[in-house]
Amino acid sequence: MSLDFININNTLDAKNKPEDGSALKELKRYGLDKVESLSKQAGKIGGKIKGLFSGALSVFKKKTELIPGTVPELVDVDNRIEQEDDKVLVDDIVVCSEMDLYTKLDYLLYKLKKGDNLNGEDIREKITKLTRGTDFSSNELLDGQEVAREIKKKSVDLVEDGFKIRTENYLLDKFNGSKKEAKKFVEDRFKNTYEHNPPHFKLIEKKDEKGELSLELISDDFITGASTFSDLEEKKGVDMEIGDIDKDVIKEKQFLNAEKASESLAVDRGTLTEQLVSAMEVDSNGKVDQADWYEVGGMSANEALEMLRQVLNRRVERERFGKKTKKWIEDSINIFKPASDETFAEYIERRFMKGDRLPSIYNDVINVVKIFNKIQNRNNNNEKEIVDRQMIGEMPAEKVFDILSLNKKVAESSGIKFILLDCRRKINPIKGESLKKYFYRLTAYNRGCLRKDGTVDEEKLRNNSDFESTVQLLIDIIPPMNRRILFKDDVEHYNPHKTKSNGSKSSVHDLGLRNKGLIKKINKQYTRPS
Amino acid sequence: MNENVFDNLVDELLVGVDLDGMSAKAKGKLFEEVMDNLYYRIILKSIELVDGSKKDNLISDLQNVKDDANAVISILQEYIPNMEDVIVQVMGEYKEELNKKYGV
Repeated sequence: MSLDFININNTLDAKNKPEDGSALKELKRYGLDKVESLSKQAGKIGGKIKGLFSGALSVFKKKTELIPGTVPELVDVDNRIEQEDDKVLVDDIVVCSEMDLYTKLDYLLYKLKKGDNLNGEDIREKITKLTRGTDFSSNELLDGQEVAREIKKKSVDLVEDGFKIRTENYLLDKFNGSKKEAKKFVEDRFKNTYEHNPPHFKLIEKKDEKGELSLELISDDFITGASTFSDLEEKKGVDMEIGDIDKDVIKEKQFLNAEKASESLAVDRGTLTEQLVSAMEVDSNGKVDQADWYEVGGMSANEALEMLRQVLNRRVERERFGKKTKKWIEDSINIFKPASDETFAEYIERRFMKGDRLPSIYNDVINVVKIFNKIQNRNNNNEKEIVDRQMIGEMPAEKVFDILSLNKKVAESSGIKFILLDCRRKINPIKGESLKKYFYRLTAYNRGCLRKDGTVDEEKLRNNSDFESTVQLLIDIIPPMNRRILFKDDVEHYNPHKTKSNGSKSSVHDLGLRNKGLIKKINKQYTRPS
Repeated sequence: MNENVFDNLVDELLVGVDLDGMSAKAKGKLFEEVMDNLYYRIILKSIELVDGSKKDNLISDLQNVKDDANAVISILQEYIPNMEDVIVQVMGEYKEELNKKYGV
């Protein structure tokens, strides 16, 4: 037996709605007046049943959150269903309980743009398939860049365009007949969605069995951020990858594959969301790893804010943030926009320097990103990292120090010796100097190869040891979570050519590394000077 | 999250309802009442949705397990594959009624 919403809705009979408290009496008609109440059994309910109710609750919440302050749309919309194909098109989308308004509109525009002549049944089926069991708060990213552009372009006319008349009615109902308000709502909605959070897709090049080139739009990973079509066009070197293919063809390919991409993305998001929830439970102890902070700081600010936005969209996770933090994030997204190439550390510092003081943001952000990192790693079988491993070495040392020194809590809760500040006591970073270069100079300092003016005596250092390559190598190959060793004195004192007091040579084991694979890798790559 | 799902359901249905003036006892009673009514309504709606001879079978099955909510919901699921939708639907209707009743 198959029941869809139309069946359910048509079966509803307003006259038969039970009065509050009289539902049990109604059941008497069926000989079920002595059904044991749920409240007396709530503690005995099995996980499967709870899961069912939990799922329903999520959907319900989503619906009530659609427009803050409104009651669920179900009853209103149900009464407007019409069975004529051309009219049911919009209504079917609107009535689908598992999508929010924006997704429905996005999807509708996508279908119309694509020229599909689908009837309501087809669309409902596709939407249901796309959204079943997923995190609906993120579903506004279902469509590709081309669709996003189209929506942005058309959003202004959304309530005036001919075929969207029913959408207009829907919106007008929501805004008590105010066309101006409805229009503003749509404009703001899409502006916020697509200006700050471009769809998470990227174009990849593929060759088929015959060696012919094809392009496919795939969903980007969960948090790395969007590599949108326009990004690809702008980035140097991308043209080399995509060759001389007609841009229109690329666009078309991108567009045609958007549905496929959204399907896979929808599934991924659903899985990831579940994991996020469980990860949250585990990682809510407030402990912050210093290494995590470096990863966060090195991330793109836009990327970090996108993650936070996603978390804020979920009620459960949102409650983990303080009021000020929420405001900070919202302002970050809506008002104080980060530059496209700005790291999160730079962004936070910039705001901090302008008097925007909110130290607790660090912990909140780190915890969130830490969780995302874990999820990310888990889902990619550790094959991919969120942050370029070089990133940490390229971060300005001064900024890293400042941020850390500003946030004592991070340092204290890290459980890691706060060596960086000790380092600073030895030599200060030069303005703009990268962490990698700073470590190089610090090494020189420790080896007595740093001149009084702060520059490195290259020749002396070269003759003394090969620290440059060692430090560089460590930065390059050590996984983020093991980077903490960089902050141990051991690194600075590591010298493969040094004879220890017991007569043996120093080895990478002196670094305190426990990872045999890593040691092997270091030994393999490290070339002793002849 | 599943542990308190029924409490959460009731919380959600009572969003906006001013409970400040109520005693703890009265609140507890209201929560139980809402939870139970939601449950009864879900059963009722499910029966209404099933038609023909299947309805008689469903009622008969429910009569046999009416003391066990686990069994009741499982049976409803057998007859109505998309029970989640039904629950959402019932919640929507019930919420609207509660809103009217409590002036939300």
